[in-house]
Amino acid sequence: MPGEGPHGGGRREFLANLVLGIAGFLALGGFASRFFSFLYPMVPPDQLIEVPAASRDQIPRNGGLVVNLPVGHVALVDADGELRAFSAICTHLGCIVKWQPAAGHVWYCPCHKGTYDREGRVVSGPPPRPLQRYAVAIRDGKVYVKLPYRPPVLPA
Amino acid sequence: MTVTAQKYLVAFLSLALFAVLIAVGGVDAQRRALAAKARQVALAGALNPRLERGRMVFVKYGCNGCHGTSGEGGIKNFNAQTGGEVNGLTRVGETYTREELIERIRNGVPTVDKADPMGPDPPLHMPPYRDLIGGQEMQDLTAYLFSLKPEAEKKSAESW
Amino acid sequence: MTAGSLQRWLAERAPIPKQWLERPFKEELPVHLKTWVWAFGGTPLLFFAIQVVTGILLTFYYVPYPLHAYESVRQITFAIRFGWFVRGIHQAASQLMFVAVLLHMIRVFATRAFRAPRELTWVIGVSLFLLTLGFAFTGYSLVYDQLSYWATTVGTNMIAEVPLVGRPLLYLLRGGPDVNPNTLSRFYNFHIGVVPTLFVLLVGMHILLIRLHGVAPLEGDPRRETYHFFPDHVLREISVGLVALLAVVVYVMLHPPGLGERADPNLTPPHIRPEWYFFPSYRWLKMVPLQVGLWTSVAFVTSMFLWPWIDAVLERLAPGRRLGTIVGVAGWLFTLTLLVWEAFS
Repeated sequence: MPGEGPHGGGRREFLANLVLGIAGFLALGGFASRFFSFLYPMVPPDQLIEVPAASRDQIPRNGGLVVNLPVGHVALVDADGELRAFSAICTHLGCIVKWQPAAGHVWYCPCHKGTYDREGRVVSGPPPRPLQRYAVAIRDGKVYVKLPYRPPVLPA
Repeated sequence: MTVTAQKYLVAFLSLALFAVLIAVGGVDAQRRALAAKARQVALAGALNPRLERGRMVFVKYGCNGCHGTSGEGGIKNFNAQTGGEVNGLTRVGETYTREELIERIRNGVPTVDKADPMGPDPPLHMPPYRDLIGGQEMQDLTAYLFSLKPEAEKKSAESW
Repeated sequence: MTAGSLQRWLAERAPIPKQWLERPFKEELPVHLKTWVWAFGGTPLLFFAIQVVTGILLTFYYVPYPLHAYESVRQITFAIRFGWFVRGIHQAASQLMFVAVLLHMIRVFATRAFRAPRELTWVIGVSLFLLTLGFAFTGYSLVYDQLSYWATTVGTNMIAEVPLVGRPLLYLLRGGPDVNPNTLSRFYNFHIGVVPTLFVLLVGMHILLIRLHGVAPLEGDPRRETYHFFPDHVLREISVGLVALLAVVVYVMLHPPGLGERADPNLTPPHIRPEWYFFPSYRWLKMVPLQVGLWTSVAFVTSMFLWPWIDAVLERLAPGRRLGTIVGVAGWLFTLTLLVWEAFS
């Protein structure tokens, strides 16, 4: 328009720019927020479930074994007749421990050579925490373990 | 239109867009809740408490881990004769009697048939559930399995 | 640390000549560009950008394997937060991108901006148009519901009819003689890899040529005034873009995407039809024998590519009679008639 410079006069232009900037930022923010929600996985809460893991007679006195269930990995150990259950997932970086009794420990993690005793405590190696303890019950000769089940993200 | 006026126009349109995006948030929650309910009704037989119990057994023993959340299959089992995947369960009603199905679940499938006999053993196999599932749970589970239908026979369960 | 010293620091490390940066901001455009009709050049690009963004988002959840494809689309549409929104925008913007490209083509055709020395720009433009159709066809095949599966099967079967190269071309496209898991992988790859890459390269060349030639003068327009590219024209383009975006978003809110039944390779549904932008060729192929239909279609597309030269020849035959425009409009009207006829049958 004749008489108007390419960048207009001072304060009026500044206000227009400010309004434009804020409005543009809001609109972009709106999209960004929705798209972030879209990408972020919908993780359902863990459910505590009780599942049969093994028969009682599969674990001899002072013996142990690791059971891989579809719903979780369980480390079972008999400590002088008392049955205990732990998560078999190493607290270091998530590998599954093996039953490998030796002097001082019973569980061995092959990834970084961490070891745990029959109380789940760390004996040697890099694991930062003891194995998670699960409640265990014996009914009709079967071992039931109460563990936190992580449902698949976004069930179909 | 002057440049200043154009700037305000763009600002106005941006704010309108922002307002609509706010509304989209509420709409999203509502729609997903509706769709989830529609799907549950179609799949879980929520009208039938017995089928619901059977579905709980199905999940409790981790059957969904290999056979799919609603028995639709699709989980990979390399070199398995069932199309390289763990088989779905939507046709058990046509393939087994109740006694046969119960025996199958009790015995499991110790070795899965190979698609290529020279190829490797399929990594997944079905363990025997005879020590784990019995009695009322087995009855409910089989009732649930018989109620499963193939996807193509169902109309799309979702509606807005 | 001041703004000036930061600028100097950057200028030392990325020594872009000052003129390159200042040119777009100082450029002047002929005022005939001020009408909203001329904004259709930028709109396809805007829609393409929308498709890239929503498309990339969708790839986080979509799985290109037959059993999983339908399921993943179902999850996106009904279960994932704002999944219906992202998918809906992707669908709606694809239709609008096609319309925008078409309107732009019609505008360029009507103003004869394709004349020498801008023929190459036109040829690239027609290629972009065909790539847009390629996007639409491959994208639609990924949903893997009944309509999607069978439309793809029928659409690709036609290619086998091309003599000599038809069959090998079909095998290449499908990754085998029949539609199989390879087919889906290949179409997915075309849709997110091959076609976007070609599209970006060609759009780059298209815009570069326009910048180099400058905006085509408008025939019979005596005005010589100009206006600023920045900020005037830029703001204008942004306004048009925002209106389009608003329209898409509101539409998707009111009409969220749905999903048909899962693809069943053993059961062809009773009413199979391609998407509306394929209606003209669909109707034509129903009217004439297959070979005739095939070759006339090839001739039609070839004439689109060669239009600047055909128009030049027609102009020489009958100077000032706008023969080119008449022939061209007849072609457009014929195509439109076929489209409408198919739509209402």
